[in-house]
Amino acid sequence: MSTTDKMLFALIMGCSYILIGMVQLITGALKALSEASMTEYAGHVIADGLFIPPDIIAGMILMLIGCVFLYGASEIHSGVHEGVAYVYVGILLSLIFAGIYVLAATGDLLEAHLLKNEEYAGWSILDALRPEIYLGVLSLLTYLKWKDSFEVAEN
Amino acid sequence: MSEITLDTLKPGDMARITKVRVKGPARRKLLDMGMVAGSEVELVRKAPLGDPIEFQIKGYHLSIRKEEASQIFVQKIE
Amino acid sequence: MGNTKIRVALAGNPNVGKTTLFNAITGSRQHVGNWPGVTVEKKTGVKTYRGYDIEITDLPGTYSLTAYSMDEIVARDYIIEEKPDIVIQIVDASNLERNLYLTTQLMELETEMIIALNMCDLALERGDKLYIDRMQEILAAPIVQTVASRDIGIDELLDRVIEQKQDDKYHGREIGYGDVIESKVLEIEKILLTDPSLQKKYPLRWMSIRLLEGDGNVKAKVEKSPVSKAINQLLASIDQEEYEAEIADKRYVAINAIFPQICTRCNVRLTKSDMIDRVLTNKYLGIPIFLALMWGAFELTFAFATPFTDMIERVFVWLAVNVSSGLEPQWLASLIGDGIIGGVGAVLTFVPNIFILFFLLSLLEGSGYLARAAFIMDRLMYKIGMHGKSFIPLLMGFGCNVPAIMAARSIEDEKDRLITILVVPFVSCGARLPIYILLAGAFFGRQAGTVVFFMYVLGIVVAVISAKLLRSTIVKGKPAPFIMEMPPYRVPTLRTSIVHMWDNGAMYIKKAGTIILLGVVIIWSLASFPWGIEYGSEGSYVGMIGHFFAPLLEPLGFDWKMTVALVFGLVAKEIVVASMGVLYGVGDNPAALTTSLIADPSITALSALSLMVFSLLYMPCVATLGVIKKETGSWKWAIFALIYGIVVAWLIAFLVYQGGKLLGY
Ligand SMILES: Nc1nc2c(ncn2[C@@H]2O[C@H](COP(=O)(O)OP(=O)(O)O)[C@@H](O)[C@H]2O)c(=O)[nH]1
Repeated sequence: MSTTDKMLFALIMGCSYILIGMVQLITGALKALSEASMTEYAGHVIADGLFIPPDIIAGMILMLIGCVFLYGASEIHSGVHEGVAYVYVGILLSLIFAGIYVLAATGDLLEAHLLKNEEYAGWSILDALRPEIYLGVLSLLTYLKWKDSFEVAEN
Repeated sequence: MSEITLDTLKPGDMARITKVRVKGPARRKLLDMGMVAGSEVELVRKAPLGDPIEFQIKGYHLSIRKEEASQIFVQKIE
Repeated sequence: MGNTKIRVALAGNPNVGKTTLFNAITGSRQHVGNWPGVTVEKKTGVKTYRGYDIEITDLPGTYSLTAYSMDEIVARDYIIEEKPDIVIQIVDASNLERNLYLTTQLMELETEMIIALNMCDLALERGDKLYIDRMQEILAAPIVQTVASRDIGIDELLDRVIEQKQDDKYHGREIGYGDVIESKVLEIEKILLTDPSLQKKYPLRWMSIRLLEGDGNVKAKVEKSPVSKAINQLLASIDQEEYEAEIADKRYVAINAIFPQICTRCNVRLTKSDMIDRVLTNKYLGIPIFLALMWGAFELTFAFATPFTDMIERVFVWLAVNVSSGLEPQWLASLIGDGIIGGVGAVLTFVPNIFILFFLLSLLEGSGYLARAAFIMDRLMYKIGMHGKSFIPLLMGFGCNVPAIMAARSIEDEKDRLITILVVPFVSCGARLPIYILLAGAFFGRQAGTVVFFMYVLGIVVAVISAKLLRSTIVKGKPAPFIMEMPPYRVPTLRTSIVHMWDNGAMYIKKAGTIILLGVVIIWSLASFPWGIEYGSEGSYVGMIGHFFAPLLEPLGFDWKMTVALVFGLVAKEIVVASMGVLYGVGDNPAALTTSLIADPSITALSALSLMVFSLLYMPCVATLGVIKKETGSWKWAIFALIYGIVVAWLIAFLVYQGGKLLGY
């Protein structure tokens, strides 16, 4: 797999993570400030469409992962071969956070369906869907495709 | 070649240890970990806050604080 | 029955896969305890194999056997005093040079040795070539290639153990240190030979070399012998520091001579592990990534534990209702229902969190990231008088202080560990959050979030100041030097993490459990007697205690009810909330409790703040006190933590309350 492909991938992933992270951060901040109910903070239409729950810290983490990807893209671009390291770790991080939210969703699932906790009434699998997860799936697919090429890059 | 101390190296620099002047229990530990005269070391990286420093020595990675590194004398290998 | 027993000790450097191998051999038949007299963990296990009972002792992982640390002394003393039949040294095949250093020392102890060449997969994958036959010849010990994480080579290793046991010949080998040192060794040996009792106990050559290196531990062994005078005379005439360096040097020279004959290393410029490290310790991204990962770990701990916590709560509620209802006499029903089931249940609801925290800690450790965390944070920690390794335990404290204190075990230096253990209780654990939520919610309205955040910051500030204070008073001295291997990143095995989680979680339940039970019964008695009184009411002993201590706590703005709630908080801090519910007669209805708190004229926003501060700091809960005792090995430090906590809490709450009053709140 050529490094140009990796650079492009890193660029796309970097931008998506940063943009979505920003939306998440801003909506999170708005919600905290306005004390509006769950669904009525400003900008909720975009956010809801992309399954982005308002969450300041999670937003910052998404942006951080985006930075790792972009850092890698810029290093590859300027000819530093080791830049692929950032792409590799970017993928790892996105997988880790996807994993965390999948497990957290499993916890919610147990609450809702096994324990029938009232607070979780009406919980559906769609509530569990968040950017960490769908972006993580994207990373996973790419990783499976490129798995061995990270090793070859060492020579 | 003049003698310098380990903490003055830059990432990627290689050097050969000439003398370990560290005192106390840290000395023992450093010797055990392979910081003996004649060993080759490479400075791999510094921690984000500048201290400790990570070296490659005897085929593995070892990190120590600047304080100890400044008492280990080396000769740079070009 | 009637199986022949073989006693085997596992030795090896840290991070070579020793734990993984130990688990692979023994499975679940293992026992975790302490080495006598010290707080170093001791693991033993038994494996029945081909009609033999192979009893395996896992020695602490060490780089050397020179008595630099407690771990090394324990490992060494076991080998020379207990004389196991066979020592298996686990060697990391991908890092032979440094691993062989320990081999050279084990050789001098003159025990039967087998070498398990672990991580062979990594070495071969990298393209290294290992010449096993040659290695066997040079090291004069059987060598077995293993991949512990995939159970490869385990049976062969056990076969060798049995063969070695059947074959009585001792296969010794030693390395030479050059004429100068060897002549001194001979001189010392000659003197030692005059005392046959010493000679019978310890290998002669080993003792001589250790004496030359200035080993205080061996000197002490010789001190009682009649030859000690001659030895001391001889040692006084030489520069031991010079010899120490020279001997270490010669060991590595010997290894350098062996190494090219047994292995050709394939030099990879940038391994996967290096790639990961470049990013994770990057100047700008390193710290943010570290914080993000830690936050993720907490998110996971709490989100994933919730259903299990709920289940435990429900079980205990059910138990309390069903078990105590049919019981006679009534006091017994109350003891079991209100006291034991209620109290133990409250503490056990933390078990899922604790298990998950231990699991994650083990993942961090097995992957090699723990060493990086220490590397990244050491600079900051050093400034406040602590070691980089103290950071993770402190951080875990936010989840629960108990596993945090147990995690401090990874800190080798006694003083560093003690300080960490003593300041962890100031880190605001999960159980304190309900108190803040109740009080901040009731009295601070929209500022509630800020107030809660302030409590967390206060906890950290007090921990930092305490660390500094302890460093300059009771636990004098600088933090131990940071000399730490950065092992390559590896994929941790699920089994090791589960075993780790289970061992430590079970230890919490067992050890802390007994203390909790005791605490719970005491508190219950105080709340229920004199008999006939309403549970925990003004007329009970606890109420009396509340009244008794109230004057002391009055300057902090507390009345007797708050004092009583604080007494209950000893069991587990979140019981403070529940007992306030009892005292205000609203049960566990949070909304009603909030209203009655606001309505109570004796609580103002200021005294609520003061109460939050006090419950953050005042004393570790019984479970924490229990592990402090266990981990430090004495009640002394647990009592110290208790008193120190109360004093600090009183002072700060006093400042808050009186200061606030002066400012006109
Ligand atoms: N690839 C590989 N990894 C291993 C092997 N043995 C252990 N590991 C991994 O190495 C890491 C450290 O192992 P651990 O048993 O904790 O080392 P200890 O510090 O010596 O007890 C863990 O993540 C293990 O899964 C092996 O033979 N091959």
